[in-house]
Amino acid sequence: MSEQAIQWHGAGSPACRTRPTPTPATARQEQERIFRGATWNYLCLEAELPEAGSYRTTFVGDTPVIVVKDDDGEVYAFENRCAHRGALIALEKSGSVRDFQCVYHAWSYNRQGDLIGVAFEKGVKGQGGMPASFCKEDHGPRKLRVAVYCGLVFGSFSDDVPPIEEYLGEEICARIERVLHKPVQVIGRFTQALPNNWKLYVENVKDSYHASLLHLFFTTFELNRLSQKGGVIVDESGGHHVSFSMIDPAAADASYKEQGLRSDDSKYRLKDPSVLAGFTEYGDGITLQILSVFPGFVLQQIQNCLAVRQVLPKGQDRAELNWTYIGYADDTPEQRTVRLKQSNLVGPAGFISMEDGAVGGFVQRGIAGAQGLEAIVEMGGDSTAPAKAVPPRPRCAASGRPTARTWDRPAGAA
Amino acid sequence: MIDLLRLCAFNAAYAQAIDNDELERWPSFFAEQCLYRITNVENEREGLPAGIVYADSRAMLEDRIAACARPTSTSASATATSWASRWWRRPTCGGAVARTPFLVVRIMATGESSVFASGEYRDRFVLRAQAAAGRAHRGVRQHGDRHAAGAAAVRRRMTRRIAVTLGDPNGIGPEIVLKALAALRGRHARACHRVRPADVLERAAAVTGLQALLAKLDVRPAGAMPRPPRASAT
Repeated sequence: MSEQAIQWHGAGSPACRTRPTPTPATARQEQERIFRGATWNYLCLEAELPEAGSYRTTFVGDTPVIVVKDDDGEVYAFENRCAHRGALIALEKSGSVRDFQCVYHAWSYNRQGDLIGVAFEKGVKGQGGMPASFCKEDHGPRKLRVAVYCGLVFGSFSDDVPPIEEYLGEEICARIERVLHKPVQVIGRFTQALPNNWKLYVENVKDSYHASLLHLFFTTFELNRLSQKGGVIVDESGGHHVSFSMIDPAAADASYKEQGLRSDDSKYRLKDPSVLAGFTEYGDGITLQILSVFPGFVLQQIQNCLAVRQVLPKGQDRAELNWTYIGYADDTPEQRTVRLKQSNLVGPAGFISMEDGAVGGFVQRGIAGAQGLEAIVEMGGDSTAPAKAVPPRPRCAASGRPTARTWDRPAGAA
Repeated sequence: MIDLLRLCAFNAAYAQAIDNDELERWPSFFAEQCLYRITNVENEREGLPAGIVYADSRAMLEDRIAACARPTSTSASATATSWASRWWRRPTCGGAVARTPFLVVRIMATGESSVFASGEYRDRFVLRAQAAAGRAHRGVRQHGDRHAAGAAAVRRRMTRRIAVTLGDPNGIGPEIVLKALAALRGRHARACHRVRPADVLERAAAVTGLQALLAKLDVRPAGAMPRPPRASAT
């Protein structure tokens, strides 16, 4: 099978070859090298596993996984696949169990993923059963390494992946901690079906160029503009990023109007502007922070609207975006209402996120016949150094190339 | 009072507004202070309050519709909505709580149809006059399926209108109608308007001696029939 790497023309050229059209072969390689490779994959929030026995089911790529808390207070994760015939061990999205039992032939597993029970292992009335050499310890679903960081539960199939803090790097860690600095509560979960390959969504998250151009809401109501103070940080592996900006009411600017950009529409007004009303909760003035962790995790703070997102491939041309909206456990009722109302910005029907859901499909349809052709993906220079927002070198400076490079060589992989 | 028949009429009008793409009418189905939320079964079961749409005023719903008209949210499609009110009760005088399963089919420009949303409206209905008098509840919670963006609703404003035809202009119909109108009292009498055609009624008033009543009505000549606001799709 031939492999096609994305090629750069070298410094100074803004173009790269359009990604090869996804094929079943590349999709399989992604599963093996990225999702089951040396990466940390987001599984759930620790807050979703409140007590011993609490579990959730999720996916690492397309591999179904169970995440569960045991009596020792530790979180364990293992493949949601019965060692016997391969049926799902847990069918529900969440629940609480003493042990897991496959419904098919009643093989059972403890909360750490060990096979502990085989129905009629010794046969019936002395007949049949497993051979004497059968050892349950040797059979069981694959177990994942688990790391919990700031209440985020990550899992990995790889023994080679570096410890989570090293994987994330100092700067990403600091900005995760900035948001997840105290206990959180889930206030809702939604799934957004994406009509495109999963990578198009991940790239969109890292592309801060589009945010204020596509999203009328961001620009018109000055939630996010390229001319605001802010920046982009891409970690050394190129896999993770943070982009952030600060609303500065004193610094209204005319750069969008002068260019006649659609997204700045002065005639667009809200009848009920309370949807955008908020309160200050971070001392640093950052009003928007979007953070991604390779391969498919996003932590979002848009004003007071907090969420984590999990991107999962569902075949070559579809993906699933799982949203978990959160608030802090010590929110006042008023603060909680603000979060609920601001959540209209995000999610499957969000004023902003609905557009992100659509553009991936537009690209996917647009490039259908363009295999081997070039697209311009770079803007603002070819350095990967953190960019500060000073036009005309927009904040997106570092976002294009490192993203693409990562597909070639997963973070942490040689 | 709200009965099942009125709920059905409401749901029919609601579905028609959506299917005819008269989305600007959609917020008018809700009380000024409403609660509109689209969620899924799992959130509902766990008591998680967020929605993929969460609006606590009619104005927020109007903002939603305004956003639909923006260029980035496009879809060349039509819908066909099916619904059935299966469960309802009247907890308080004048109000009602109802559950209405729905199915929205999206018809693409290519002719392909697919299920766009399925779920259940969980509505709290209030009568508008009572709402103005300070009735506490309005609100609705709605259930959509997973990522389906369904529409749901609650609403109010169920002023009943009855059309009475005059029958044969040369028969006794016009006289009977005038006498019936004369027998109405109070707000029922005020609810009567736009009577036509003028010449037939004037003849009937002369016969019945009800010219005084006719003077209070908005009588229009036959040629002045207003057209319906929008031709409905055929």
